This record gives sequence, structure tokens and C-alpha cells, in this order.
Amino acid sequence: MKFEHLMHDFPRDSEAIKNLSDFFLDAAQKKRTVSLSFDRLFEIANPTSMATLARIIQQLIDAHTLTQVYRVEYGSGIGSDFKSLSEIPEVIYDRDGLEVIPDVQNTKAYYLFHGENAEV
Amino acid sequence: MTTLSQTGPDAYGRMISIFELLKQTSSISVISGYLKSKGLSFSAGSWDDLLTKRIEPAFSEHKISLDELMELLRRAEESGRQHIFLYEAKPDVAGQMIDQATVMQKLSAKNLEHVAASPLIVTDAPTAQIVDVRWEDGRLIVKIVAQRTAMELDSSVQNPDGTIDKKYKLTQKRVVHVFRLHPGGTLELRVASLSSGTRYTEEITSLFAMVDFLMPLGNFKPIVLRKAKEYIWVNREALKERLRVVDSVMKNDDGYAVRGISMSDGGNIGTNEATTQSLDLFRGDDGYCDSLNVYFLPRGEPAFPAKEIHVILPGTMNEFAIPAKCSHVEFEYIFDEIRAFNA
Repeated sequence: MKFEHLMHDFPRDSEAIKNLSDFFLDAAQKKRTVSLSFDRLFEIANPTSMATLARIIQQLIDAHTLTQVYRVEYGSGIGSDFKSLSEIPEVIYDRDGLEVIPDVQNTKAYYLFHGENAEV
Repeated sequence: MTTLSQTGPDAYGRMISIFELLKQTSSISVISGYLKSKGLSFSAGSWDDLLTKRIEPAFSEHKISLDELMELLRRAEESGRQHIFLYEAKPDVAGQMIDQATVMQKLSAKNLEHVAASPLIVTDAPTAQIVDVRWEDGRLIVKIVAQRTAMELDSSVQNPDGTIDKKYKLTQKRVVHVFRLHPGGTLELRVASLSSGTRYTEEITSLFAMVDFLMPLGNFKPIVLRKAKEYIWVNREALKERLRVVDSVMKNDDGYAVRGISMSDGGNIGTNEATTQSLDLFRGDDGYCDSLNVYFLPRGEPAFPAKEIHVILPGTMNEFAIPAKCSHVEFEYIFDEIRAFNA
């Protein structure tokens, strides 16, 4: 995991990047696979702005540190994950077997970190 | 200080408009209580009585003013039945955004300076509009009135051929949203609760767009309420005289969750050892309290708050909700408690 280049690109957010680095280092040492919402990443990092965090996340995706998935939610954070928007079907079924129509409101990005594969 | 002219040909009409909005947002007992506190005749069995026998005479005799009625309306419609989203700006930036001269200049550039001089009384707002800009205790308040359209089933008829005809009617509902910016940098965005659904992202975006010239979203970042949730959960025993927890979700970042719920809204999972131990075991080192449903309890004599106040702290990082209407004093109490728990 290389966070030094992020420090260089986002000097005002060096503290936030360190917070993220510490979190992912801990997850890697414990070989945890974690799935994080934007809100959760915001909370862990405590960045100067949401826009900056979005750019940091994009760099982590580009560097294959994070993998983005799309979750169609039918409960608080509960739902089906898809690797891309094009994979989302027109209808999914919740755990009571009820139809859920994926839309902008119920589809949310999650970010996966595979601790077992990460270089510590 | 915003004021409404007590005189002029439309003063009576404005009084009636405020009264009609009070009918929608307040109660006879609240208005009667206010009249009583002013030493005026106050008893009324109906809204008509309240208007014709109490408000109209008091208004024509200058014993109650439009400003006082407007203040009653503000208190009635600006507190409760809301989802509150908290943000923070740097204090110096907040100071610039609150500065009265700067705000007046920006309002003037948008031809909106009149809403700071005298709040608009808007009963219908097909297009969302800023109706009130004012300062209270150094805090800048911007109020927006909007309209939501809901589709309600009007009738359903089964035909002989097995088909069903359903007729829906569109109903319009007036809603009020409030921004309140504190000198320290805290911003509350109080969004009127949706009657169905829990997602406010689009509404938040459009509301911020409306006040972008006064409070650009880029100046703020969300206030994470994790500490408040953790504090309430960890200190539930010490807080038992102040609140009870009926629903709590613990999550971890591995993608799992455990929920402890009281089957009755009158329960308290803090008193059930099996539930709390399960939740605490899951929370462990890597888990966290994701969401809570709590009731703040009446305390003291006379009791305050007057009745239990339901507060939701959902999974969204910077949101809490007060599902039912409450008084502005009760709102301030809840707001202060949540902020203190989050400190």
C-alpha cells in the first residue's frame, strides 16, 4: 500500500490520509476484507471536504487498493452488490422475496479493501 | 429584526393568512396558551371561535401584533417532524457568511432583500422559495417554503372482465425547511420529513443550491455523529433517567451487523441483559454503533419535555431526526443534547 503519493497530491489532507493508511494497515494485518460506504470512509479519514475524499478514493481505486461495487439497498446498508452499473438487473428481490426496482435513490457505491491480498 | 407592518390595507389579510397556517401547523391549546400568557381572553372550543372571538378582537385592538403571530408560526412550523443534517464550516468563514451587511448585500443582488426586512407569508409555493432571513442570538436563519406532491389512491373499481381501475389524486403539501448557521461554524439543515421514504440526498442538494449565494456547500463538511451514538450506547445506564433506547444496530466493516430491538415502542433494550450483551459482544474491538432509536424522557416538575420525544440517529453520518412535531424549546433541548453527546 502506497500512501506517500497521496500525501504529495493532497498536502492539506495529510492527517486524513494517515488515518486511512492506519485503518487499512490494521485491516491488512488482520487479513480482513472490509466494505466501506463513502460515509464510513469520511468518518475514518476526517478529510477537509467531501470533494477531496472523493478524489482520494478515486486514486485508491486507480491504484487497485480499493475496489468499487454498487449495492442496491433494500434495508439500512443491506442489499445486493454488483461490479458495475451495467450489471444491475431491472429487478432484484429482497430477503422477503419482494421486488426492488434499482434506482438512483437505492443504489449506493461501496468500496472494498481486501486485507488478505494487501502488501503490508 | 424583521417586522411586519401592523397597518395598511392588507394587514388583516396577512393576519388571516398567518392564522390559516397556524391551523395547519399548531394547535388550539398552544395558541390559547399564548393568549393566556399575554393576559388576553383565551378560551376557544374551535378554530373559528379562536379566530372570531379571540384573535380578531385582540388584533383590531392592537393587543396582539402580526409580528407576534408570525413568531408563533415560526415556532410551530420550524421545529420537529424533520430530518436534521449537521455540517461545519471554519469559524472565520462562518462569521463572514453570517455577517449581516454581507448577507443583505447578497440578498439585494438577488432582489431578495425584502425577505430580511419582512418575512413573506406563503401559503402555497409551487416553486420553492426563500421566505424569511433573520438573525437570532447571532445565528443566521434562512427559511424555505416548498411544496411536495403526493399521489394518493382515490378509488379502486373491479370491472366484470377482471381488470381493476385505480384512480389516484395528486395532493400538494406545503413544507418548511430551515437552515440555521451558528457563529462557531455549525450549520443545521432541517428538512421536512418525507411521508414515505428516508432518502434526502436530492432534496439536500436542491436546498443547498437555493442558498448557494449565502452558504455555499463547499464551505462545509458533514459533522459525523458517531461519538454521539457511541456515547449514548456506552452510557445508556447512566442516561436512563434522560432517555431509553428501543432499537440499536451494531455494524462492523467486515460487512456484518447485529440489531437489538425492543418489540414494543415502550421498551428499553438497555434493561435487557441478553440483548445488550449480544450487541456489546458483536461491537467488540472492530464494531461500532451504527444507528439508534431513542426516546428522550420527561424529567422534573413540571415535567420537561412535556412528553417523550422520539429521536432517530440513523446510519447516515450527520443526520438525526425528530419524527413528531415538538416545541422550539424541546427542539433546542434535543439539539443541545445530541451536540453534547457528540463533543
